[in-house]
Amino acid sequence: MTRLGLVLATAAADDLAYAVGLAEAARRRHVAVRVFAMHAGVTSLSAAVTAWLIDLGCDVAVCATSAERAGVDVDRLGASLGSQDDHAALCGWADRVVAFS
Amino acid sequence: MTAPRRIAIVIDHRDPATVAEAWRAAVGVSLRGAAVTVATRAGAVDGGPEAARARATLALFGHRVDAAADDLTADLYEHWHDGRGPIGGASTRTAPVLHLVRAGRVVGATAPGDRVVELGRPADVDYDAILDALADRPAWVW
Repeated sequence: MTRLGLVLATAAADDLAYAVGLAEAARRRHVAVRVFAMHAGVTSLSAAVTAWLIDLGCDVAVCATSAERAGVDVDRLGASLGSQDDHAALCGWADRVVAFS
Repeated sequence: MTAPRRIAIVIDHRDPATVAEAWRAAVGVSLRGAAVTVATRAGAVDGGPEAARARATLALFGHRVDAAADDLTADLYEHWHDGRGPIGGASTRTAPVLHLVRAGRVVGATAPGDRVVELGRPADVDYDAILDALADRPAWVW
């Protein structure tokens, strides 16, 4: 596996922690990682977590529709403002996807 | 020409807003040519007009919207699950998956060759072992 996709769609703290743990382990192996947050998942991300993921070398995109509905400021998070097209792109790009939904 | 990626969206949730989001995600992941299959498990609630529109859109473009949840074979699975509902049993799925079971959750139907990993507390998870297990099978998160 060289490309891992992570979908985060819940606000559960454990799901965020699982996703970060997988991202950290993957990056240690030089596996490329993309994260896509949507639905309640946009509320679980913080600026610190997003910064950590980006520092690890992950791409982090947030569904703009979900962010707007939840009142989440994506610029403040430091993530890319994305769409369902990014979701589709992640699913096409990754060798494996782990979806916390 | 490679075959389109097979994406399964399994909906097993009692929150209408989340069900609607699952249907929106199903349309979303179809945008780059994947073959999408949606299965709604008995007991899941209706997602309202947004879900109905998404369902109609997917059907219009030839995606399957009425599959049996436990028997899906796909390249990747998005399981929109609230932790309740029917569990256990056997699946006729033809390719094994890695079931990742969150703390406090229970795995559903399994097929021969499946692996089940209880995630437990996030700090205690062996993430390297999960990555190893993902090498030859997709994940299905419970």
